[in-house]
This record gives sequence, structure tokens and C-alpha cells, in this order.
Amino acid sequence: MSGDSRRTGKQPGALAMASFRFLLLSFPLPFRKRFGEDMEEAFRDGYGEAEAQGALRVIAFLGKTSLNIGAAGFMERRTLAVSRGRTAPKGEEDGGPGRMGTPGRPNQHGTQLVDNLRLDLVFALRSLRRNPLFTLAALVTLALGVGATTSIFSVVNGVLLTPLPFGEPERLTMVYSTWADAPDRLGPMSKEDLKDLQDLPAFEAAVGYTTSDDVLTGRGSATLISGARVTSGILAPFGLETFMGRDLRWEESYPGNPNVVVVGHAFWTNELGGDPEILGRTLELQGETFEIVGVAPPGFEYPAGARIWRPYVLSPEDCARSCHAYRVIARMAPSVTLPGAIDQSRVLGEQLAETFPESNLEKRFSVWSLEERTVGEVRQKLWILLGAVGLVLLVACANVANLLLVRAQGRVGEVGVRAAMGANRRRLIFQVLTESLVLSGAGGAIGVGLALGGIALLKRVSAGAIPRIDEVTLDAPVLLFTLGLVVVVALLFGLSPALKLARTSPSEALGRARWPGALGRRSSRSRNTLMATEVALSVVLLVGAGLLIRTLGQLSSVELGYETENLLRFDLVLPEARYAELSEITQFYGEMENRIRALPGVASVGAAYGAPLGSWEISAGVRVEGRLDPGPGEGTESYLRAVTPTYLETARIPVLRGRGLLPSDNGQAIPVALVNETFIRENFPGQDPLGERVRISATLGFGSPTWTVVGVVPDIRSRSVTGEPVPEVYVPHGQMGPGSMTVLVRFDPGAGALFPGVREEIRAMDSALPLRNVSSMEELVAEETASTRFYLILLSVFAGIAVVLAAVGLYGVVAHLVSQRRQEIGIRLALGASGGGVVGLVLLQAAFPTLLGLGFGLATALAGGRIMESFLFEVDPRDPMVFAGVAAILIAVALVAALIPARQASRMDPVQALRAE
Amino acid sequence: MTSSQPPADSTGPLSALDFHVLLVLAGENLYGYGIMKAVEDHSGGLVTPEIGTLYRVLARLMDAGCVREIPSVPGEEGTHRGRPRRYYGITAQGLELVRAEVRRLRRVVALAEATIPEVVG
Repeated sequence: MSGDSRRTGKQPGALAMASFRFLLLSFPLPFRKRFGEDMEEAFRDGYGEAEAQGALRVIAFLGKTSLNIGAAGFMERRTLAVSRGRTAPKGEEDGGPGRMGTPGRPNQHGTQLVDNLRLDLVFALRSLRRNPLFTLAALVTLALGVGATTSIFSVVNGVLLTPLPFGEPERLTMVYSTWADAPDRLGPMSKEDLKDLQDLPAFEAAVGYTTSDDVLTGRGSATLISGARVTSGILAPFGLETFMGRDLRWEESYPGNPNVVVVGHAFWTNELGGDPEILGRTLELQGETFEIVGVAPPGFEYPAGARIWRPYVLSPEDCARSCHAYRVIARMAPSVTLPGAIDQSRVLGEQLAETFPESNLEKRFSVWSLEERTVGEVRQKLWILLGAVGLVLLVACANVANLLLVRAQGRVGEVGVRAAMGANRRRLIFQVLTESLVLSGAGGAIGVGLALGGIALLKRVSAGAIPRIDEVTLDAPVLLFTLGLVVVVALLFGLSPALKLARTSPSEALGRARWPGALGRRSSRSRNTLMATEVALSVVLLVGAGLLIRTLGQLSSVELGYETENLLRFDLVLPEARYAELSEITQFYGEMENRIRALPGVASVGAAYGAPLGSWEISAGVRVEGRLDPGPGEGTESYLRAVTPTYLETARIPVLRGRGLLPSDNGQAIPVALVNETFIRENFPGQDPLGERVRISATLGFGSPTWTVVGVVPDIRSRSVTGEPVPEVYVPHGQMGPGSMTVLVRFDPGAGALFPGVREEIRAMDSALPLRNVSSMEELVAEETASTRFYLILLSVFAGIAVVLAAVGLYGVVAHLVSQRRQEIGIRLALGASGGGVVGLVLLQAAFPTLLGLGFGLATALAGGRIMESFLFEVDPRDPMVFAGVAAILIAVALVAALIPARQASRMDPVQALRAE
Repeated sequence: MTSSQPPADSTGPLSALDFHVLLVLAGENLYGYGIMKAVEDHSGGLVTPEIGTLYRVLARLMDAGCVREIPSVPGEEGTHRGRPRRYYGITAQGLELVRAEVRRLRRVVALAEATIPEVVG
């Protein structure tokens, strides 16, 4: 029969299965024991078949099934309750043989239950239609809450809960060099260390790589393609094999081997025409010829969208264990756990420290799961965000509960009469709950619509702030989550009014109908509690948003030490094949600067290896000439910057003392250097460094390692906006090279589009030289603060929604209070109370829940402030300004919300008020 | 809410779902999802049971002795993804209930044909 199509489909995910099991809880336990597993099996079958027919079918299947399970479980429970209520035949337990009477009437109770349910539904819809204002307010509130929560959950689901798109992602790790005394600092690995790491039994495969763009030449104009340089085939750690040909070999990363390259599947189909005979053909990169030996499988783009992979050629003599060049991705052997791999790597680090003390004394290895390195940084923040949006949802629930309570109050009389006449109390509760479910279901449906927009918006504002954000969609698991949310929300706001109505005794209710004070007090207490909760939750969210606003303020007021306005920057890489000599390199950059400087609108131009927030930098140990060599692990390190003479002026970095670098500081002159203040603090505390000679144990290709200090420059935030300044040594590009430089172009304000002219000049000098990473300096700085801005926008939106909801709620409570006390106020006014006195009286009532909520909220924010720390920069989570500001805002909002009904009360006509009852 | 208990062949109509479930099980033993698909096929898409509803009906019919669980048959589609599948089959009593319903339907049709032949015919 037709059942076999199910085998073509996939199994539902763990979340879908868990949600189904959760829904099954609606059935009574004996029923679940009897049929639960079988029903799960049927769910799997149905899911598999729907999956084979596309995502829409899955969504339809999940929707229909969940509604059906919920309703059927509910009816089964009622059947059980009814059959228990009657005298059961002897020996009958749940599901016993006598349960349904005779075979001939299997459907009787079901029919009645369906009828009841239908009646409840009709009643709910009618009562909602009759109160359009209430319904609208509740729907908008719920839709906002559910929509915001669904949006954020879809991000959490896509980024954190969905496994990385690789086979057995839990076996993938990243390995770094680190230091015994600074285990938090993660650095690249050396090739020889990597070789030892590969021999550990913990790892099945380990590959070192760096991302590197290549210039594709010999095919029309030179184009830049992103690629990676690797120590051996990078497919191995992922457990993959080439689509065609072979992957790279370890031996090929040593000098003296032919140039080979593996191309990506997309590159092969798009750029090489999908040529089946491609193996053995060649590619020209930077003017050099590479033989294509393999094609990667479709979709493989690790790392960072790489399209080609070639060997990273380094000879062991060049830089043994001291050259840290690679990031390492490794696949753990089956049955090895992460702690096991960490352990083995630690032991290896200690062994190498003993065997190679000069290079490895302080060096250790650090192993991380790839998932942790990919999303670890945002994990906590996303969960906090989900928590924040959960608070918004709670505020929404409290608000709707409040509205329902007010309405329940109005129905107490009706309910009392019905109860007095013998109406079934349980039916009454079900009726109110049905109404809640209808409300929350409709609100949820609108909320899902909002979430669709919300997700699109999140993707736009989260650029650069959240990894894997492209993978986020509103898929079946998210919809299931929302469905569960709708049910929970309905119970949250529906249960208390339902129970309140059910508890109402006829005498109490009927008494109240004549004198409204009696029951009002108790229910006004629960409304006050709800109100205080809303205020407290809003305060917590406001504090969060306030702290982020302060953080953004701090970030934008950071003194970077250089001027970012009107500054264009791009990278150039001169291929070694054509620019081998220092003179060739300096001549190129000299001429380039002259050409660009001559363009209209250009104020100045300079270039640096190691420009702020740039692509490259190098650091190395420092020795001061005339002092004893520091012991291993005790010396200082410094960052090395090679700059052209006009660089400092272009970046607007002043020379504090001594002189700047001059065009005459070239290969023939004495090597000179500028140092920054942090460098002086670390190496010449309390001394004058001018004239001192320092030795930096690294070179960028040319020049001596010893430099005479001729000037002092200020500290700048060169590595990141938030990072502390580091020690820096500036040396003349004319004395050190290298060929890779970041060019800065300072232009006159309003100079218009400069870039085409700049590119033209460079093309005129070398047509095979692409400009990389072109951007304005301001854009680069903005990228650094993007993630703070993202969280700020979200938290502000959440706080805004919460405050508006709380204000509306407060208004509702006070307005209701006023209407309840009409008579009393009327009497007061008739007896000569002033309007101001009445306003004061009403405000006093509103003040209680507001101040209580404010106090609780501030205390919670104060106690929980530490979870915000990861979001903040130079702001104390207990910042008094933020707390005071939040209190002021909240009191102002509450005052406005309460003042409107209060003033109405004071203008009441006492005669009418007294006559009304 | 109380009811007398008339003999099987004189009871009121079976619900469409009850009838179709018994009908497909009269033809062959089936597992849960198989019943859902078969009912949908048999009824030409008129009756499309969902999981929750189906199992309530199954529970009821089993309690009434009309449907029973069939021990899985080795070599047939007895196991699935490593778990044994539970198959359901019709009992003699269930068969009798189907017959009674068919008789009732026949009488209804006959009555309709006699009363309004121009419409039915």
C-alpha cells in the first residue's frame, strides 16, 4: 500500500520530536502509556512523507498535527473525566473494557465534547467581537510579544542549536599555540609543532592554513579570488574527498616541488566552464603557473569562502618552530573527546618545552571545538537576548491578564447568577480558557507574520555582529516553538482570570452586583501585583538598554590617536616575482604616492605595513643595546610598523619629541626608528630613549635588526577600538620594505569619488595589481562597533515595547480604579473635595504598584548586572547615571499614564456619578 | 447524558471515521500511519484522519472489542527503524458492526429510493 513513500523522507529533528512529545502530554497518562510510542511512530511516518514533498507540506503537517493532538488530548481527558464522574462498571480502570458502553455507540461522548468545544469557540469569538477595543489591544500586545520572541528564537535556533553544516561537526577542533603564563592568548602554530601534533593519537587529521587572496592573471584583467594556503589537503579534517582528482599533500608544502592547486567546485563550474578534462591544466596566479590537481566537493568553501587552495611553502631551515604562521583545523579520532585531545596536546606542549627550550619553553597548545570558535563569542549574548525578549513577552502576558481580569470583574455578576442556577463550573473555566487560546492563537499567527519581517530586519542590522546569520530561517522547529509558546502564553494570562471566575461564589457575586466594593479589593490586589511585575520587567530592560547606550557613547568617544575622517584606505601586495629588491619596492611606493598626491582633492598620501585596524602586523622580541639579554620568557615584545615618510602626517599622528621619518632615511642611511609612549614605559621607564639603539628580532624582508631611536610618537588604538594601546616601533619603509602595504589617502572634505582616479593611477603603473580591502577608515571603525550597535538596537526596541505596554497597562488599571470608585469620588466631590485632591488620591493609588515595581526592577538590575558585562565597554553595570535615568523615565511615563484618568475623575460631575449606580 | 443500550444492528449511524477505519481493517491488518493513508485512499480523500483523532477512535474501537492488536509477523513489514511496528486488525465483533452498518446504509438507501426516486434514481 501507499505507506512506502515515507521511507524516502527524512526523520524529524530532535526539537520536532520533543515538541510532539510535549503536545502528547495533553492526553491522559494511561492513554499515552497505551498509544504514545505508536503515535510518535505515526508522527515520524507523516513527517517523513511531508518532508519528501517540500517545506510547505512540513509546515502544514506540523500545524495540522499539533492542533489535532492538542484538541484530541483535551477531549480524551474530558471523556475520562465524564466516565469517572459516572458510576463506572466494576473493575473498570482507565481504558478498561466497559468504558465506552456498547460497541454500537462509540461516538456519543465525542460528539458532545465536539459540540461543547464548538460552542465554546463560537462563544469566545462572539465575546471577542463584542469587545473590539479589548480584542484589538490584546491582539496587538500578544502579536508584539510572540513576534519578537519568535524572531530572536529563530536566530538562537539557526546560530546555536542547528549543528554546523559539516559531517560530524562535534569532531572538528581548532588548535592554537598559547603561552604557559598567558593561556588566554591564542596564536598561530609553527609547521614543526604542527607535525608533532599530527602524530598525536587524538587527531585523525590536522591541517595548518592561512587565508590568502590570490590574483588570477593570464585570463583578461587581473582578478582577486579568495583562497587559502595549506600545509596539506584541507578536506581531510572535514572527512571529505575531492570531487575530482586528488587533494594537496604534506610534501608539497616544502620548497622544490612543482606548483599545484586545488580549485573549488563553484570556481570549476563558473570560471573553468566545468571542463571534465581540467586535471593537469594550469592556472596563472600572480604571474606564476600552477597545475590543477583536484576539484573540491560542491559547497565546500572553508575557510572564509575560499575558492582555491594551494600549498603554503616554507622550508624547515627558514623558521623551524619560531615561525608561527598557521591556524590549525583538526579532526579528532573517533571516540576521542575534547578533554582527551586537550590533555594529549598539553602533554605534547610540555615535552616540546623540554626538548626545544629556546623556541618552546613557554609555548603550549590550546584545543577548541570548531563550534565554540565559530559561535562561542555570541552564545551567551544570544541567550541573554532571548531572555530579554522573554521579559517583553511576560510584560505582554501580564498586560493581557490585566485586561482579562478587568473583564472578568465585569462578568462576576453574570457568572454568579449562572453558578447559582447550577451551571457547570468546569465548563465555565474551559470557556474562559478557550477564549484565551483563541486570543493567543490569533495573536501568535499575527506574531509569526511580524517575525518574518523581524528576521529580515535582524539579518540587515546584524551584519558583522552574528556568525551564521545567513542560515537563520523561520523553519519548522521555530514554528513548533511558537506553537508551544502560544499555548503557554494562553495559560499564563488566561488561567488566573478563569480560576478567579470559577472561585466566585454565587452569594459573593450577587452581593457584589449591588455593592461593587466587596470583591473589588481582592482582584485589585492581583492587578496591582501584575502591574508591579510589568513595571519591574520594563525597568530591567530599560537598564540594559541604558547601559548599552552608555557603552556606545564610550565607544564613539574613544581617543583613537589618529583621525578617521576623510581617509580612504586600501591594501597592495607587490608580487615577489616582479618586486624582488628593496629599491624596486620603495621606488614603486614613492612613485605611487607622487601620482596619487597629484590627483585633485587629495590632501596627502602615505603607506604603512601595520596600519590601524589593518590586515597585517608583526610583533617580535625587543633587546636594548648595552643591556644584558633578558632570560627566556622575560623580555618585552613590540609591534613593528614600516611606514613611508608621509604616513604619520596622513594619519595625523604627531611626533611628540625628536624628529619624524624622512625620505633620506633609506637603505644607504643609518637605520632609525620612532617609538611610542607604551614602548618607552616598558623599555625605558623614566629615561630618554632618544639616541638609544634597540634590536627587534624580526624583519619584514630587508634591513638590519638594530635601530636608533630618533623620535617619540603618541599611543594610538591601532589593533582595535576597544583594545589597549600596545608598544610600537615605527621604522622607515625605505630601510625595511616590505612589498605588502596599506595605503592611506587623506582627501579634502567633499572631494567626491576619489577611488576611480586612484585605481587608474595604480593600473597605469602595474596593470596586474588589484586593490584589496578598499574602504574608508570610518567604515572600518564602524565595523568594530557594529555588534554593540546591534545589541543596542534590539534591547532598545524591547525596552520600548515593554515601557509602552506597561504604560498602557497602568492607564488601564487606573482608569478601571476610577470607574470603580465613581461613587466614592462623587461623594467626595459633592462634599467639597477639590479637583486637585481627587487627582492626588488617584495618583496615590497608581504610585503604589509603580514604585513597588520600580524598586524591584532596580534591585533585580543591580543584582543581575553582571550578565551584561560582556556587552559593555568602560561602563560599570551599576552605572548610577543609567539607574537614575531609568527611574526618572519610568516615573514620568507612569505619571502621564495615570494623570489622564485622574484628571477625568477630578472633572466628574458628582450628581451624575451618584445617580449612575 | 445517559442512554439505553440497544443491540448492535439497530444503533444509530457509525461516524464516518469509525466506519472507514473498520472498513480498511476488514481488508488488511495495518499499522497506525498505514490506517491513516488507507482511510484517505478508500474515502477518496473525504475522510482524512489526523494522528490524535485516529488513536482516540482506535482506543474506543479496541475497548469495544471491534479492533485488536496483531502480533507483528516476522519477515513482513513487522519491524521498522529497529522498533517493532504495532499492527491492528478487525475482530469478529468489529466485522459484525461493519455488516450492521452496511445493512443500515442499505436500508437508508432503499428508503430514499422509495421516497424520492426522482432524486436518487
